[in-house]
Amino acid sequence: MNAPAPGAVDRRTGVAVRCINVVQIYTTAGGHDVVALRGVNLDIRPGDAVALLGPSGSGKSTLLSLFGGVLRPSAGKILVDGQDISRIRESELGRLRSGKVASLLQGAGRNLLSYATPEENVEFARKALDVASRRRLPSPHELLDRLGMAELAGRPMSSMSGGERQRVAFAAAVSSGAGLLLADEPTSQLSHDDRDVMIELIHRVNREFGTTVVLVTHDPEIAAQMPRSITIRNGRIGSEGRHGFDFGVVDEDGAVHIPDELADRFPAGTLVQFEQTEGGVLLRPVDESGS
Amino acid sequence: MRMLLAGLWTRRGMSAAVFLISVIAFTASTLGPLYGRASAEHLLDTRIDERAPYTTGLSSEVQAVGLGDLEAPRQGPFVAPPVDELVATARRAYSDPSSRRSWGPSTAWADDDGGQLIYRTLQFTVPLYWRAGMCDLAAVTGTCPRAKNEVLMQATMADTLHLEAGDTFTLRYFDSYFVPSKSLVGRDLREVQKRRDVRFRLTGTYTVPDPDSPAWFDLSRFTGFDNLVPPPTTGSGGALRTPALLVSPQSLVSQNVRAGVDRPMRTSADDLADLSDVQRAAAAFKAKAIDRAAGNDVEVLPDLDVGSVFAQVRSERTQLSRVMVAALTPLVVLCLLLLFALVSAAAQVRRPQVALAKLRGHSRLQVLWFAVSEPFVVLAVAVPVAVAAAYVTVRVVAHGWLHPGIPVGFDAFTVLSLVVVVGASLLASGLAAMAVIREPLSVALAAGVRPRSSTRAGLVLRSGVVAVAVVAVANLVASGDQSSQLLALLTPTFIALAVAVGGALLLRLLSRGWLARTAERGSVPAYLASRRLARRQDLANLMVPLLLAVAVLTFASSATATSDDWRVSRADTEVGAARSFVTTASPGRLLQVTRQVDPDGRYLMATAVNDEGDDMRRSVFVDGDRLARVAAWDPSWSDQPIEDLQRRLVLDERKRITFTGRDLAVTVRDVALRSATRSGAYLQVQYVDDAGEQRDQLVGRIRNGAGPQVLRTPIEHCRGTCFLEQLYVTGDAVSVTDLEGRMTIASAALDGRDVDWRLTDPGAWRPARPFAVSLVDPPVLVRAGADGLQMRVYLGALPPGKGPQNGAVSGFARVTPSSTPDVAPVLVADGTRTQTARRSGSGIAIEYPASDVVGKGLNGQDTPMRVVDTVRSLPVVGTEGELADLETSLVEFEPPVGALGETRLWVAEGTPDSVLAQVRSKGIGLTNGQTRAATLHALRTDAFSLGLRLFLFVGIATLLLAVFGVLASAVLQSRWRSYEVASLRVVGVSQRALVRGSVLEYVVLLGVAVLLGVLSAYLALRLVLPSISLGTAAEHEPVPVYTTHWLIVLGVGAGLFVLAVGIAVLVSRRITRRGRPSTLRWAEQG
Repeated sequence: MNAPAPGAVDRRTGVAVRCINVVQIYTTAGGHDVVALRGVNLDIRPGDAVALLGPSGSGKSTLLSLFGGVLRPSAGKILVDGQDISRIRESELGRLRSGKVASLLQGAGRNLLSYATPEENVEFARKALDVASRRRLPSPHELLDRLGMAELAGRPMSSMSGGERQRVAFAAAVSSGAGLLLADEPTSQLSHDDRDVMIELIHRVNREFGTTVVLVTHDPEIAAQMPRSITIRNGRIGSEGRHGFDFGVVDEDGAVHIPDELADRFPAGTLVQFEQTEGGVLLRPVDESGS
Repeated sequence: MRMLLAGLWTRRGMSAAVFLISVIAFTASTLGPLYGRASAEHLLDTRIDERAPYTTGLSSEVQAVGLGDLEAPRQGPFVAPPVDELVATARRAYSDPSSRRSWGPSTAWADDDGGQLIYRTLQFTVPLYWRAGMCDLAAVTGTCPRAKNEVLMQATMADTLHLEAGDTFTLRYFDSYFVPSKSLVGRDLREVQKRRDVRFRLTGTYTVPDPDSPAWFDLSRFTGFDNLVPPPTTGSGGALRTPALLVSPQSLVSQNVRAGVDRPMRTSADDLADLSDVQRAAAAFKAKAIDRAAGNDVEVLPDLDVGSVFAQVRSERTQLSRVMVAALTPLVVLCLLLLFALVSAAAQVRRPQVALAKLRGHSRLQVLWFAVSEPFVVLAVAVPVAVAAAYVTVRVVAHGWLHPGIPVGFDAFTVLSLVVVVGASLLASGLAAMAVIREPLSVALAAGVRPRSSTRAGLVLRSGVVAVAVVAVANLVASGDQSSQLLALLTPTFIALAVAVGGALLLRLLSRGWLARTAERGSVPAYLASRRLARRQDLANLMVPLLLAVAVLTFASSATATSDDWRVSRADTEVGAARSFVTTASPGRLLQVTRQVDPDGRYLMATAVNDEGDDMRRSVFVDGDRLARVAAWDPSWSDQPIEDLQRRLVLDERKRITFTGRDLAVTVRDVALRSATRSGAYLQVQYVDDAGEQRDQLVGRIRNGAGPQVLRTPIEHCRGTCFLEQLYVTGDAVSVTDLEGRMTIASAALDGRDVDWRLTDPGAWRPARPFAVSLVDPPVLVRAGADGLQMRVYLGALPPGKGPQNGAVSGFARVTPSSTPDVAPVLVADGTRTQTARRSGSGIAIEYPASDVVGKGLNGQDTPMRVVDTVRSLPVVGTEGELADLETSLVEFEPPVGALGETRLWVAEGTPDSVLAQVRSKGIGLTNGQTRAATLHALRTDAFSLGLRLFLFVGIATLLLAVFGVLASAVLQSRWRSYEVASLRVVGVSQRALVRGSVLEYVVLLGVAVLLGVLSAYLALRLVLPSISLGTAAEHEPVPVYTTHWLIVLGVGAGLFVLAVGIAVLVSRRITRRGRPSTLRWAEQG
């Protein structure tokens, strides 16, 4: 593999993620089946920074859990760094999580041992790595220092603010040098300043280490700060935004989601007519008579 | 490590609880074997101390003269070698050094049979005794004898003989030897006896302060007549042996000298590990000693009972071990259950952290260690703390309960026990954490606390518990007292666990019904309580610790009470009263003295014990008027009050014929007595004098003739009140006579004044028992008339009758006042095989109803007795034998001197020493004192009692632990319960209703636990306790009475119910306080 050009992100450290017709069904406490994902197809290249955007219950967190191997898909495949993780053993998943896939759960407290210091949390996060791998990584203190958290290294968690804890959680998550970072609502319940700091950290990791980042958010502003955002609705990919532009996504069945701002013009049940034009396709609503 | 400690500190409450419970479990597992070993050492020392020193000590003795020495023809008697030479010979038996460790330093001694002392009309054998250091052992007044023929005399003996220091007296010796002689068959040996009088000088007197001291080793060598008491001054005499004179060795020069060396066993030198070695050393000593004796005329025969003692100790140790295992098992089981619950709870709290470890890709082993490291570290720290606590506790207990100086040490069993329980704790902790470890990551990462539901493994476990309990109980019921004792002792725990399983199920079912009712029309608190009980199956787990503890504590308390009652009954049986002494007096004399010294009958009671017969059946005769006040009577022996039984046993003194005077004159008339052997006819009178001694006095010879004959005789010792017992006619020789005919006793007079002997009262006199055989027809018929008491005498034949007659030739024709019942009333122990008296008599003169039985009279002869009541046990007699009134029995059955087993003085609790001093001052020696308190103490420190104490102690510890467990479980549940409470408050349920609901819930839950615990204990007491051996009873001792101690059972239950209510209130308030709306916000924020 050739070395990247100067200034370009070394995408060799990043991990690719690919979904092929992923369906996820789960059973509620009442015994009902709920389809959380309805045939998702998605390609995330190494080094991408992607936001999964959507309302509650759209399936975005489910998709994130599938990427992390926490859930196994009911149907379809999930390839992480080319490896189909939907059928592998738990021990292999564990190895995957220790070196390639890092998860940042929603809420700082769930990512940390509250009784340990930031340094100890970083050590804990790396515990699964072998000695040689650990030696290749910066020390916990160095890592915290590089991420601008040197002053927090030895402090007890109880003395930190919410934003500081979230930053430490982030450091612990990425401490193993994983090629894929999965972050669930990393900015929830943070102040504006802390949110900005958090986003900046994510970008740094993506830029400096080439880590593929997939984050889940319900906040369009956060999603807009990612180079790529994918909107998920009702278990399907509705649209995708790239570099400030929104695009619809044609799924396997050929379905396309109407953007939200145009939804009023095309309420559910509307008959539409497709007209091929020079530049693309014209979508025109018609009444029941066909006019 | 810092992180680990920080984690423990963060959950310090739980960590402390786990630490506490594991310390308790480990302490119990260590304390049990330590205590058991210390107790066994205590038992070893006790059993050795109980035995006479010569049965466990090493002793060799050498006779000065052998048969060969005597038979060797010589011109003079054999002269014994000096004592030093004999001692040296005896000492050679101790050449084996292995005996030195377990047996103390040797003490030399020597004695001989001594000589004959004539004192008044009595002749006594006075032995001589020397023991090294004897003047330090005895309390000496005067100087220790040093020169030849100097003696110390026992103090009371010197008083009796009116001797003082400086006085001299003579002992007569008869030395035997053989000289050659010519006889018809050739040369032969002829025995010659040479008399030798030796004069001794008294240097002082001695008493023995502590006859039980092993320093004396074998008291029987020199204690003589009934242990250190002087010879009687009256009685029939005979060759009686006095206490020995203490002499210097050179005074022992008779042919019968023997010398020896004693080494008592050192209890402190041996412990349980050495028993086999000690037994081997004792056996080797004995074998070598016998070898040395072979071929010589030296006798070296130690009487070693070491093996028997050790066998008893081993048996008791096994019994103790069983009880301890049974006692500690529920505590350890409870600890493991609580440990499992606490570690499970801790694991639940750490679920997110364990999930994080999985999320970070930790391996299975790393996740496992992460999950269990905290409890494992706590358990590891608990081990040395528990070991130290157990050691200190056993040291303290040993100091308080056991012999001083008992060693407390660790052995392989202690280590094994600790290892097993530590291993079980580690396993329990690991299993508790396993649920969280095996949980899928997706479930673990989900928000909220998941209550654990019942699993298949739990169902199997519960079914197993019930099955084990059913099998154990069935085995016990089928096998009875033949079942395994360990299984029997563990069964109460099994029953409690099975009841807990069933109780949880029952509670769930009842709660559902309760919920259905309260949902429609119940109050809010009742609805809340029933709803929670019906829906939360895990709440029933709160029942288990308390139920188990209640069951164990109730069972242990009641079993201890039953065991102690039995021991009290045994002590009462063994001793008979608060204190008991063997006396030197005759029964009549003892009766008289006790009535003089204690006329109110508050303190003293004369008794006589007879062991006649091959069947080891005992009879005890007591001064019946004092039975209720003085005798140790256990209420469990009879359903009748002892006062009622006493009333039916005794003579009515008012009816007895009394007289006073010095000269007796009896007028007889109408005498027509014939004898083919021309035997003379004599009238004799039997009476009890004013000193209480029975006397027989010849009144005079009776000659045939119609006219009155006055027979006169002096009467001794009737200046006070004498009791007339019998009048009888006999011949020239007591044992051969054939007098037949009639005579009339017309009147009696004392000192010239007529006395009313009721000779004309019909029914006032009856024939008395023939002397030799008591159940046969008496050889006399009586009829009272205006002329007096007419007697028809049939000596040498039988009275006329239809037959078949049960008769025998008798030498006496006796009549006695009817105030003495012809059939003695008696209490019979229910283990006695009785024979109806009806078969024995022919009914001619004496008709025995079928209910009368054949008993033993005071003289050991068969006699009819009327059963007043059948009781479970009798003092001194136990479960086989009779108790009758002494005075009644004395009238007809006074034994000859020495024929009776022994007379004893029973002394009531709180008797002043001055009372006993008065008894002694009347010449009655009191020896072999036993106290009920000492006997009871010995019984209360036997193996089973020592084990039961631990059982009770552990029962209390189990209860405390259960309460702690309930509180800890409630605290653990309080988090999610506070959410529930907060939610209910948000929707408008009042705090008061919430508190009441919670209190009601816990009261029902814990109340059911207490109730079922008591029920479980009751089942165990009914089904299990009778199969448990509460100890080893001696023959004739009463068996345990298995009654339910309702006071204890219900008392424990009520007390614990109150405790349960208190816990309910405490926990409910805490939960309700925490359940505020803000709690929900906090839960939402995670």
